Amino acid sequence: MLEPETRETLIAQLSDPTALPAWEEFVELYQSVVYRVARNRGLQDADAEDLTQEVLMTVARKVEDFDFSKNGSFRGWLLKITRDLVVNKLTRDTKAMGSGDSEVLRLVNQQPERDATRSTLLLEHRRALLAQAAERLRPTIRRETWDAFWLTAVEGISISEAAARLNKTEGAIRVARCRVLAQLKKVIESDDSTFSL
Amino acid sequence: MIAPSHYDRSVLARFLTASEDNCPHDIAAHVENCEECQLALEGMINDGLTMKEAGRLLQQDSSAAAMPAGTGQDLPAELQQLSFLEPSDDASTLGTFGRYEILRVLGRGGMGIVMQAFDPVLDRACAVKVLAP
Ligand SMILES: [Zn+2]
Repeated sequence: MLEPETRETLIAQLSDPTALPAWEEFVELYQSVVYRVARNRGLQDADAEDLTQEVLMTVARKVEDFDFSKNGSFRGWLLKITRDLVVNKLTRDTKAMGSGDSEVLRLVNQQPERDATRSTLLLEHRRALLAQAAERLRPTIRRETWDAFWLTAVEGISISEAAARLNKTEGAIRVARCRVLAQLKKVIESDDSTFSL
Repeated sequence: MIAPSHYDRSVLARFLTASEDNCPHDIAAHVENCEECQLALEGMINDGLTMKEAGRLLQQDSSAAAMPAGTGQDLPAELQQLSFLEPSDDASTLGTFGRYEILRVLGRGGMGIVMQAFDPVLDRACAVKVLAP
């Protein structure tokens, strides 16, 4: 039996219930982003999962502080505090050098690591958005249209080979894959959110 | 200067994002056989996220580092069957979890489930996520 007191739960108390979809969307998108950044920065699977849970739970607790009556985007705020948390948690605490400037030195030493984590975060954010858009778009278009894009752009197969495989002209392959990419971008842009590319 | 026999950018832009059902056959028939229009499409599409970048991002997404997510099939039975919920006095809800009335399941992922809930103490909606142990 699971006791709420002993279970780790991620509970967001939102003073504005209309923000619930934004919160859910954020959790679904960002749990894989945080996990992948952590793996990329050298953490093992279990540690990366722990860090992801820790970050999202900390954010969930902070959600109570967000004042919806003030101007500002809830999504933008979620992104900022989450990114800051991830960067802090993935920055090793380098030892102070023992001078009076040690705090400054420590920050200077950590800067490359922070920058690397931040750019990995942005990359993984883009990847998660694109993967989500692909998942949504794929069922709505014909298989051979999708395959023209997937085989050539993702699997790196040449246009001519894809044309032979799909029994299409090379021109049809080139046009189909352009249309798929254009529609992927459209899905991401129409997402009505600031979680954009 | 694009010769009048080809399509201009605004037509091609609409063609790129038209759904398959609304995709004009005459334009498709022309551009699939016209090198010049294909080059124009490829130039337009690489504005912003390029074909190459998109391919690289999606390629790595299907790699082993991807988070197990989506179906929730790997979740423990108690999470899949919601057997950890307590019966509620309110027959219209799925049950309670702590003080929260659980209204419905919003999603199952590799890490746990997200549920829409009502918090009677604060008298407002909330999202409750229970993570797999
Ligand atoms: Zn043409």
